[in-house]
Amino acid sequence: MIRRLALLALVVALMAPAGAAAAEPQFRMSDIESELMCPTCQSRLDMSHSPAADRIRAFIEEKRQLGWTEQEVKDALVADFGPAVLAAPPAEGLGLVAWLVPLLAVVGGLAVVVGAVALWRRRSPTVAAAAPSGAVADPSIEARIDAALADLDDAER
Amino acid sequence: MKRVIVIGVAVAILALGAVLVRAVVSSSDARGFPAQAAAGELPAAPAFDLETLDGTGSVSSADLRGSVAVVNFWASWCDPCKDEAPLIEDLWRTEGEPNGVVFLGIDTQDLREDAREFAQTYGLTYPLVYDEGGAVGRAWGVGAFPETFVLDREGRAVAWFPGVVTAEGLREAIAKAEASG
Repeated sequence: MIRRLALLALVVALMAPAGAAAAEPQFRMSDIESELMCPTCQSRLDMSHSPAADRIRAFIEEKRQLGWTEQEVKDALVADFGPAVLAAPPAEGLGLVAWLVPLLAVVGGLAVVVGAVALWRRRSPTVAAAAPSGAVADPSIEARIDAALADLDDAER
Repeated sequence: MKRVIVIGVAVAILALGAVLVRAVVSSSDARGFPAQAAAGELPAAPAFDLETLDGTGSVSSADLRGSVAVVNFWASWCDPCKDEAPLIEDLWRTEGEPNGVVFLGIDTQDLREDAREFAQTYGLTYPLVYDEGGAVGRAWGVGAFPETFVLDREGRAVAWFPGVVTAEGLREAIAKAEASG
């Protein structure tokens, strides 16, 4: 009986994957590196080779191999380095300003364009009504045109 | 309606401008602290209250008042800090602690786990605090590692050492701080 149990344990041990302790990585290094900053050189992590950046990369790789998610790694880095380690500011607190300003600029720009178009369209019919096609607004101009045409006719004769 | 929109836009622009000006002024103030210390202007050190690296307590700038203090900014990934750590530890043991000079190591822009390992590796026994998020380092204008400030009893910086300190330089700065007040 003991022999059988030992054999079973051996079979189970042999069938277990070699890297059972290592978990499946949840994200790619290239994805997260472009979303983080090197805290000491103020450039993106994937563009920095400072000692701090190298250490952060090693930390990410360690945690990636342990199966941490991208968000878990980011949270751990923010806890130690602060929110400045994120390339994109968090959508809360003062970081919200960085998100809202461009959004407000786009909305404001659109509002200006829409307002300008509406104003232009409102004015256009007034001009058209004041000068219907084929008619001349000022009678004196009409008389001068007639006189000029008559002079042309006389000259041709 | 049009007037309301114009006023709203103007207020938003002014508010944004105020935020930007404040950010620029505060960052230039931070850069000015080491320069002022180097120029002998005796600037007051920015306040802080940080947890110790081992997480068992905290140290604040108020705790340093009344004593001459050597404040050393370091990080575990910084190679010059590895050269400097034994020197600081030695000065603390032989001259700092016996004479009532406070030594404080502020670990900043670093992973906490790495910092603890560093302290253990180099056998650091002087008080160490952890600057979580790096705000204190920024407030003190720390731009390179290591950097060391020597404060007088009033909490004013009498000396600034960018880079690795020398024993002689630190002794002179401590003597200057003791004479300062």
